[in-house]
Amino acid sequence: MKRVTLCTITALVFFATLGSGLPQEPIKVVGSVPDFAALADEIGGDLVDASFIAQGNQDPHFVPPKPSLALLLADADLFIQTGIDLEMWAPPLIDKARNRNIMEGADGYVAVTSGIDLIDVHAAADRSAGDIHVHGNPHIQTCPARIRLAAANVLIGLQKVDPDHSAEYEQGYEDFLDRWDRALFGDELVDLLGGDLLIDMIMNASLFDFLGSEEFDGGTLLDHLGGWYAKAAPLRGLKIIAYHKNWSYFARAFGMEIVDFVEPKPGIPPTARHVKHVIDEINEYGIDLMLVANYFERNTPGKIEERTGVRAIFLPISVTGEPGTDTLFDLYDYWLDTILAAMAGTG
Amino acid sequence: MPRLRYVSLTILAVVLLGPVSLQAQRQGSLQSRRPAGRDTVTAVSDSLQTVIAELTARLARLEEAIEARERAARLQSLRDRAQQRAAGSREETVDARSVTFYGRQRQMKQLNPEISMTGDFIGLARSPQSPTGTTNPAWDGMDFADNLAFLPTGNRFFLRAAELNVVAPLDPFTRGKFFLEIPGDGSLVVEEAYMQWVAHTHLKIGLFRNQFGQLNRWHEHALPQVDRPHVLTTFFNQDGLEGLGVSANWVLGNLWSDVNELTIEYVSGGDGISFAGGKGHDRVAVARLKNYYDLSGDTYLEIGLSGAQGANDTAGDYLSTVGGIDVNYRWTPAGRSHYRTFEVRVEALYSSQETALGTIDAWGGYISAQNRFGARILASVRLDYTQLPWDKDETIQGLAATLDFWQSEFVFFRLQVDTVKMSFADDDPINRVILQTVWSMGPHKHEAY
Repeated sequence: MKRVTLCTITALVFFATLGSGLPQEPIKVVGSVPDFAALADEIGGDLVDASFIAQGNQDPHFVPPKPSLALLLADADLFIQTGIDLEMWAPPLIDKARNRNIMEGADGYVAVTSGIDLIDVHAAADRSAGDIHVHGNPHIQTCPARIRLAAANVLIGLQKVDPDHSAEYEQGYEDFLDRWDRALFGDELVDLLGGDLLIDMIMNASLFDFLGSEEFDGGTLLDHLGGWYAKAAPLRGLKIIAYHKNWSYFARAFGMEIVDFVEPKPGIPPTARHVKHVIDEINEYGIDLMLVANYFERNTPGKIEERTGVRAIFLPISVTGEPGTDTLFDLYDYWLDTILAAMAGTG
Repeated sequence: MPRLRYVSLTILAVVLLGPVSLQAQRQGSLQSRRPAGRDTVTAVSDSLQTVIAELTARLARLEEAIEARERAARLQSLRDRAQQRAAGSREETVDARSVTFYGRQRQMKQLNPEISMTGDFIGLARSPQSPTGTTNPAWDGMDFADNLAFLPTGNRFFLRAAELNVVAPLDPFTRGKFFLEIPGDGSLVVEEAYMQWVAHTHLKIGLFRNQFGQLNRWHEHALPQVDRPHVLTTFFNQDGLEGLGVSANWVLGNLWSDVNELTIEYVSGGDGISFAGGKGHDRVAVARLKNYYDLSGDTYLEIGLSGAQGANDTAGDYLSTVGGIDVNYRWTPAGRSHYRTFEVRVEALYSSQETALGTIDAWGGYISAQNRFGARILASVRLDYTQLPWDKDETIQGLAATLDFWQSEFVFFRLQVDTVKMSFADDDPINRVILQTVWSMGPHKHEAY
């Protein structure tokens, strides 16, 4: 009897040891847009296999909930989406996927906007204001602060569905924050103040005032600014036109002022009268740049360009939306490089 | 602060230099008792220089340390100010007199279901305007041809339907959906009312439109043309095939296409045409197998097979079987999905009705193509042909063209021009111009893909 027990224990230990040595399958993460999949990649690294539903050059408001997309979700461990009315196609897709693990409220469901202050929240929402987002502007990937805050929600999701690697995800998250902060503000300012404070100041729009008013080591803190913020210094105070509200966060974060939108109201295609109004505004304010997500039509921006000389810049709104934008870091580089190059071009 | 620093450094110098000075004096005293030698002086000088160098270095280090300490203090102060700035205006002084407390027990609106309403308004001009009689002597005095083809008569405006949609989760396991329709005559029709379990098997219980082919399940205001294809109204009825019962839907995975899906339904009610069983004999079994293929990221193809069987007489002695094949091809370029879409739908139905005189076989179908030219403009054409399921010698043919203008996602206007040729009608063909306006309020959207 003793011998049998010993053999059993030995076998159990052997198989347990064998099992622990086996490489674990990466968890399957699906992002509603590529940016959320990119966040999971940054945090999870080799532990996750991330894919996405809306393509990087696709309007995320309008994604047909095709059966093949439902099948992608059927197999997912974690589904990451805004959780608000950007992806109105997500609920039918979740239903079609029949995967209880990723349904609203389940461990494998992450609403990345949870706990994040959004702009454009309508106190009294109705459709007279256009195809508005009743919970606020959902295009948070264009805000360097909010996409960083969203990473915390992605971390929670990863830790919930794969608790065995909780520490690795935590480490990946910290690494990402550090790399993101340094890319955003430069090493010097991050070492001085830390990323959290700087991000908070972006959120309450006090960053530039603070950096400009505080002196340190013989100059203002602006002298210590590096990264994308230093690169984007020429954009501060710049008046621009945008096609849709998906650039609102970006403009606020980098100190630009959107004078008007090509759409008369969100989701309402431009009318001749409104286009004329925009043209008048461009001439009045001497506006040189117009930001357009690359999934919008080019006809109206082209006409406005023709009549005013404004430069329409078509930018991907998401990771993979253009070649060379495979990560969030690439995407922000692409945005700033393209805008600054266009600025230089317009003189 | 500079004064304090000066005093500190002086004291430090005295403390440090004191012993050195004493040593130098002692050495000087020794030298005075011994004969002076050049080497001794040099040695003392070197020694002093070394000491001075050491002291200078220590002084520099101390200065650096003090500077670092001061910098750290300045940095901490800076961080404190940054902290305050980052916190923004969170601290607010609250005047107790201005605070009023409310209970929320009477404010439970969040638990109300999602409610949406859709209006479907029609303006019709047709030629001939008056109802058309039939040429078929067997039907003389029974019905106008228009009614057999479900064609409204007269030049007029009418509200085809006002639809109320009420949708909400019932509990963690099920969803409830009600679609109430108020047709133009003012009556109230429950178009669909069912609860659905959303699990691996989608189970539906209640009144619902059957999963037969592609467009049977769609509500009228969501169709690509104003009216249903004639084959659906002729084989089933004006509202298509629907009934009270149970439905189960499974995704079978990717067996031979990218996604295979099976639906089996068992309902009672019938349609009054193909399935006209009387009480106790009005059950219809419906099955549909959907095969979905992603041809590319922008294009897909769907091929479906459907079948329905039930009694067609009140006693339940004779069965009708309707089979169908449907194909849907859709191209939507991902980067231009809001502006460009091209879609083709084809459905062909075959009906086999047992009667006392033998079996009647009939078939019909349609082909519909729709093209989106821009954010607001869509156009479509549909070609119809169908035999009547109870008389295959009588046919309905139709050709319809539409032009849509979408004011927004929630309002569209549609102009349809069509012609309907009925082999059994006095006046032939019937030409129509239809202006349709559809508006939707609330969160409900048609969920096509």
